[in-house]
Amino acid sequence: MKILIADDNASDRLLLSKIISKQGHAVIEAENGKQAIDCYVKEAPDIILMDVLMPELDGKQAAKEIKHLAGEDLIPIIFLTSLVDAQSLADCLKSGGDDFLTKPYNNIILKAKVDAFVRMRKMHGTLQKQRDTIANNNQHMLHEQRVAKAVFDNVAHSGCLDASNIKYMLSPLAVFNGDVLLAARKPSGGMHVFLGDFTGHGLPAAIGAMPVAEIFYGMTAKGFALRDIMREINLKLKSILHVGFFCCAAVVDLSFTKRSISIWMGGVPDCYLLSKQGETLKSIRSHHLPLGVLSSEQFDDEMTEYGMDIGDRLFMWSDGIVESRNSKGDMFGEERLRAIFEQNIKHDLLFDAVQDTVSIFVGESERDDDTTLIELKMVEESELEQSELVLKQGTIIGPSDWKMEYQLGAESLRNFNPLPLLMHIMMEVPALRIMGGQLYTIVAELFSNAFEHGVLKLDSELKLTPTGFAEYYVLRQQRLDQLKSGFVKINMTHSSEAGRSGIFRLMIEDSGDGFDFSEKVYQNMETTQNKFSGRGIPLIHSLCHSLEYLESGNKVVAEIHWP
Amino acid sequence: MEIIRELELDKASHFDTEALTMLEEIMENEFPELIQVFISDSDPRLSAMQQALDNQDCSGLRELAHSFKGASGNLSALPLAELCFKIEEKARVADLEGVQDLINRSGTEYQTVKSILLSLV
Repeated sequence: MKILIADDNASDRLLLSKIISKQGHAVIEAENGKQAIDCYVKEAPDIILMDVLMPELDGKQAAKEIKHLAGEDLIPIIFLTSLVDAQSLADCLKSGGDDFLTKPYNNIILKAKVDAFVRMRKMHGTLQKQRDTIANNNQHMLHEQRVAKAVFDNVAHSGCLDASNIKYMLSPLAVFNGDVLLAARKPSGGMHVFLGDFTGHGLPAAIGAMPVAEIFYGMTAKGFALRDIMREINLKLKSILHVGFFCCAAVVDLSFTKRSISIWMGGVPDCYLLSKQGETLKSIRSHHLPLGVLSSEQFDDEMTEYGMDIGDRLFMWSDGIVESRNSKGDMFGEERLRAIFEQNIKHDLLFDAVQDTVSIFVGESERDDDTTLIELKMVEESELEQSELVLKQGTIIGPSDWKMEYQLGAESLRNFNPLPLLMHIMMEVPALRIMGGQLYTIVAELFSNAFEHGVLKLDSELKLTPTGFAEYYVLRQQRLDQLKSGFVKINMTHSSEAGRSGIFRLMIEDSGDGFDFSEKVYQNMETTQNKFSGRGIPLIHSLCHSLEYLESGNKVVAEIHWP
Repeated sequence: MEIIRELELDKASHFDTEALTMLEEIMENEFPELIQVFISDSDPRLSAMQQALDNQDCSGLRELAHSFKGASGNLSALPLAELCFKIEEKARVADLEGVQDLINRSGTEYQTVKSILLSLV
């Protein structure tokens, strides 16, 4: 250690430096306060022994200056003094000294004190190094979390959360908080909404959230049913998440045409379903375990259906709302939440009222959880923006001239739904992606015609009466179980004119007997629409550029032109 | 010889002899240098103190006395340090009555201390 001795008294200095040298330290000497400061700056000693009364600048002032210069560095200053009254000694410490040593020097005490400060200084050095390491690590961690959040935001917010029937609030924290809010329009019309709350925050939660968003958007776009999507998400989370990590979720399949929602809830607080008139406020309770807990075999994908009239609203939230705390540590709780809904507030203002009430309740106290809130309103689908899938300039790449034929035999037809696969192939073409809903309807309708009326030979006229409708499905199941032979062949062709326009041609052929299309379809289309509504042909016709039945009626060709 | 023995006997009334012995041990061959430095530092102090008193310069007197007290204390010349302390205290409260006497006595004491120290090297 390097020790600075500042004393104006030459004999004292000599004596002290002798003692200190003998203890194995290097000694620097200064004769007054000014020199002491200079020496401190130039020589950076480890400990300073300083006389209190010195000419030029006295010890107390020099100590103050040195402590100021040292900043965060701990430079122990021990005052040398022959003053003995308590006040003088206390003053030494007050002016920034760390200890004092009274003259005449006692060799043993001097050594003990110097040793103690050497230890303290070393400890302080270690402490500072560790503090810096921790600060760096923390900085690094925050950076990583911000990056994770940014990546997640890119993945998660490609959906339709901004649709006019949705209001939502997500935590404004820069760090990923574990809450996930996803919404996507279905190609067949309707909407999928996913509100998830991962255990934990930051990276572990973000890592789980990525595949959830990917699966949700990917599978929804390809026309998968929400149950299948949930199964896939559950399976994925079960396999990637650590034991004890899972995702509480409320998942909604909203149908604008049926005016209903199907909801699956696992581990989230009760949702509220509010009718337009406000005469009923229904709580919907979670019946399932969170996603990522059960194996596929044990996983229950049963959803509950509720009717929703135009203007009805569904409110969902993560437990952050209910569990947010005020400065006293009280939880907001379900009662306060419900009270907001019982206050007769105009429905359009309810969402804001919840937001405000929670915000006022929490006040200045720090938000420790995630307050995610979403309101879903039933509207006419036509009120929504056309499609959120607007093509970005310059992204018209992907397959343009291609052809494929896909034939399903009896065994496949019994066990496999080819629609997602077909959608997937079509959706690779950017221009077709915008027409996803329309294409889905066409493919789904024509495929089910070929399969049900062609292969299974079910009469579409059965569906005209309610009893016939039930019979139709009984027969369908029977024939499906007994199906031994037959096929549906799907042929898709796409060609494009320099990426500016294109033609998609879909041919579906089945092993059935066909039907008398010439008369029924074309001649009587206007007058007997009802008769053939079972086959949905008028609807399909309106969606296509051309629709043509061939041969015995077991083959149909639809052409869709774009733009 | 006579004088030296006298000083030897007298040492105990001017020094803490035990501390002085320890000091000799600590300083080893630099002990003579310490004595030299002490004497060359202290010689001017008495006349400086006298001058400060003549000028009624209390703070100057106080500093000088304080410094002298520290130096003599460290050499274990405790009676001398005690006299310096009395001057320091008087100067601190700006009461210069009787200080002349104290300076005279410390002058005499210093001369004795000096002789004893010189006899040691």
